[in-house]
Formats: sequence, structure tokens, C-alpha cells
Amino acid sequence: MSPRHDAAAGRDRLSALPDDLLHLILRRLDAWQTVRDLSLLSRRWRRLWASSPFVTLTRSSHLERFGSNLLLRRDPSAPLRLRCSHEFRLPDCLFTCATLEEINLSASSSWKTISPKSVCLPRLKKLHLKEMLIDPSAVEKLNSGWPALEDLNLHRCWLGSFEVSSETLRTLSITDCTYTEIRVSAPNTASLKLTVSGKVNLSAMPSLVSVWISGHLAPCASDLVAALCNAQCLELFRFDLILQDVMQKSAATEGLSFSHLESLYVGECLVTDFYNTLAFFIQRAPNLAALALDQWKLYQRFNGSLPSHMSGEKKPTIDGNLELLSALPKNIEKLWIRLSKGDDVEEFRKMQSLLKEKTKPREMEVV
Amino acid sequence: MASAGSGDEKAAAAAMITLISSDNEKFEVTEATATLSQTIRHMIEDGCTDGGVPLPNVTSKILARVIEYCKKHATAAAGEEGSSSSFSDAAFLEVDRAFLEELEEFDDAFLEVDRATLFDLILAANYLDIKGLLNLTCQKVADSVKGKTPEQIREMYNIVNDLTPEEEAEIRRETQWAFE
Repeated sequence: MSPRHDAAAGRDRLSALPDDLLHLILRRLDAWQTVRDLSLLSRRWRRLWASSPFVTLTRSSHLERFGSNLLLRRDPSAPLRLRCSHEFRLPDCLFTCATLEEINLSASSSWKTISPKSVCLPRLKKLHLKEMLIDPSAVEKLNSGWPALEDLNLHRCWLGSFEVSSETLRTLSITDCTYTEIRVSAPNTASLKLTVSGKVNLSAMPSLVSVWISGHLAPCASDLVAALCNAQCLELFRFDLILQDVMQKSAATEGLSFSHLESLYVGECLVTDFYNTLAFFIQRAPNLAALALDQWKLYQRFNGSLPSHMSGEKKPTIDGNLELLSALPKNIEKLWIRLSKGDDVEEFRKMQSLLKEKTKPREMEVV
Repeated sequence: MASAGSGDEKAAAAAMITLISSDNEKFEVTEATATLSQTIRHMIEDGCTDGGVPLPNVTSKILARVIEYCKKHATAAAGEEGSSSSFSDAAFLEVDRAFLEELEEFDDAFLEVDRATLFDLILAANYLDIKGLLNLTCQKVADSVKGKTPEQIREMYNIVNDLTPEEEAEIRRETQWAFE
């Protein structure tokens, strides 16, 4: 970009921008620079850092002291959206900040503990945390202290026994976390993303639109499948593990209908493992229009070989599932299949041709 | 990719909207292109776009650029809807990687403008409420400022230092904590 035209014009277009646009620019700069350097540009810029609703911390040196100081010294009446891409221990004062709207910690925080004395965040809408340890004593305080929360995202966090209870929550994502138990009561959730690695207890989510579930280790998720029945779009990874568990233990899946379900993605399964999941949904989802079976990442994840629980056992074959496939809804419009070379090609070919024959999809892609 | 074709078909079938710049030039665009602007989307929803949409804050030169941006990104949005979009997983996005790269190249080339145009685009994106364009242009300004000294920034953007030496000393005291 060449500055020659403006230099000739000599106008200061930058300082002439309204505050909210300058704040959008400051948001993309480290607070370190906005406080130390930009405050010295001119009178216009002197207090912009203090009134900006965006605080972005990306520098690692003296971060804790700098961050705490900044939070104490900025204009307390300005809304606050905090982003930090370095290890950062959230100071106690943050948990009672009346203007806090967003926290986004995207860097590894080396299991820093969240155990605030009290929580009062009336305007908090969005909370994204990575690698934090949430103290059991904080769970109740948090749930009563975030009455406006809409978007909760916990990644690789240590949660112990955790609970989310919210009428306002729309987006919930708990991925690759360690926990013994999670209880969720958030009836207005529209988007759910969950790695199942412990006991999961979901209450009904009638507004659910899209769901992403990945099964890990020993699942114990009796209400899980029932809570998903209003979803339009399901993405399931290694779901056969969860399903096995659910089918064995609970009668809650009887009479369950996924009447809104339009698209179903099943990933990280062996060809032969697709059948159980497919059978379950095909019988219950009359309006299914798009179906995807994908093995991508299955072999990559295990360095080319399969984990013991996936190989060795006697598996169902297509010949035992002909009936199932003939029950496939006829209105499937899109079918998408991706297979790793290492798997049972013969079995896959049979399934592919049958699926194609039975569903007559308008679009079909095989990779 | 199959998605591009279906996008075009959709566009051809869609209703056309007329946008009128401050210097009275008329631009015919598809609804899909126009509704990248939340401002225009709301006008369409309210049914007040018959006879054209006057945009008194945007010149024809800038509006032409904005439309160029919207056309490209509307195709991108249509492409996503067309194929595997209902799935969010990266495994699927992988398929569209080539298209995303093309989009990125388009954005980079799009930003090769002089500073006056860049600021006009920021104001237009703000007025028309086109989030992607606003993010893109603000990022460009932020990148140009990143790591620069106050003196360098003043020079780059013709910022007049109206601080008295006393005020400057005061600011340094005010922000002393950030240097500790």
C-alpha cells in the first residue's frame, strides 16, 4: 500500500474515525502498545485504550501484572471483552466486573485454577477457556453468577464434577476436557459440541439445531441420546461406543424419534461399525436428507494401526444388515462417503453399491 | 467443484436490487450479493427496496469496490450452502480448501489500495454493516500500526501531535505502570 495520496492530501483520516471504529482497530493490537505508545500520539488518542471495550493481551512478559493493572485502571464503565493468547491467571477482580461481556483465553494456561471468592457477572455473554482447572467450589458460584451467559466453550479443561445450568445459554462446547461427571440443564441450547469422556447427564434441549459428539473412553451417557432428539444436524464421531452403552443400559431410547433430523455425519468408524449407528438413526429419522460416512482421521489418529477395541473382534457385515439398508429413507438427497485405504475394501464396496441403489441420492461423492 | 455451478444458478434465479450511490450512479446486484450488508438486508426485510436503495454516504467509486467484495463473498457463502455445509467439521472444510485459498488471495489483492480508499472502505463497511469487510479493512490498518513507534505512526497517518510537553509528561506518569 502506498501512502502517497494521503500524504499529498495531508489529512488525518485515522484520527477522524469515530471511537467505535478506532476501538475495532485497537482490538487487533496488543494492549501493551495501545497503552504505552498510542496514548502518546495526540489528545485524541490519550484515553482511547481506557475506553475501549476490547482488551487484547498477546505479550507474555509481565503479563499478569500488566493485565491486572490494566483491568484496574481502565474506565470501569466501559464494556469489557477480554482476549488473551498467553498463559494468564484471571485476577479475582474480573469475576465481579459488572461490565464484563466476553472472556476468550485461547492459549494454554497450564491448568491455572479458577476459584473465585465470589462471582457476579451480570453482563457476561461469552466465556471461552482453554486448559483451566475449575475448582469444584466455583461451579455453583459460576452458575448463579452468569445470568446472561449465551456461549460457553471449555477446551482441554479439568472440570471434575461440573454442572451447567442456564436458561440463556445458546451455544455449549465442552471438548477434550477431563471430568468425572457433567450435568447440563440448558433448555435453550441451539448448538452443542461435546466430547464424551465421563458421565454425562443432559436434560431436554428442545431448541437444538446442530450437534457434534465425539465418543471417548468409557462412555456413560444414558440421557445423552434422548436429549439430542430435536437436532436437525448431527455430527457423530466414534459414536458406536456410546450407542453400545446406551442400548445396553437404558430403555429411554425406545419410542424415540428424530423427526427433525436432516443431516447425519458419522465419522471415525470402521466400515463395519457404521451399521449400528446407521441402524439406530435410520429407524428413527424419517426426514433424513443428507448422510455422510467418513473415516478420515481414524487411521491418522492411531498412527496407521487401529486401537485394540476396534480391531480383532468379530464384526457385523453387510450381509447381516441387508434388511437395515432396505429400510433407508428414500428421500436421501446427498450421500457422501470417504474411506481410508487400510480398511475392508470389499465390505465397503458392498455397502456403497447398496446405499446407492437403495437411496438414489441426487448427489453422491465417494472419496 | 459442483458448488460453484449451483451458486450461479441460484444467483440467476434471485431477485435483483438496485443500489444508488451518492453521485447517483445505479448498480444492479443480486439479492444474495446485497444481503451481505446487514443494513440492506433489513431494508429488504422491511420491503422498502422498490425503486432502488439510495446510499447517500457511499460514492460510486467505493460502492463499486464494495460490490466487488460482496459478489466474491456471496459466491463463497452460496458454495458453502451448496455442498457439505451443514457439517461444520474440518474434515469437510478440507474439501473446500482450494476455494478458501482463492478467497484469501482475493482479499489480499482487494486491500491493495491507497490509504484514502482504505478509510472510505472502512466507513462504507461500517455504514452498510458488512462484518467481513469491516474486519478485513480494520485488520489492514492494525497491521500497518503494529510494532511502530508513535513517531512512525504520526508520520504514516498525518497525525498532528497536539500534546504540550506538560501533557506528554502527564500521560507518561499516567501509564507508568505499563513500563514497570
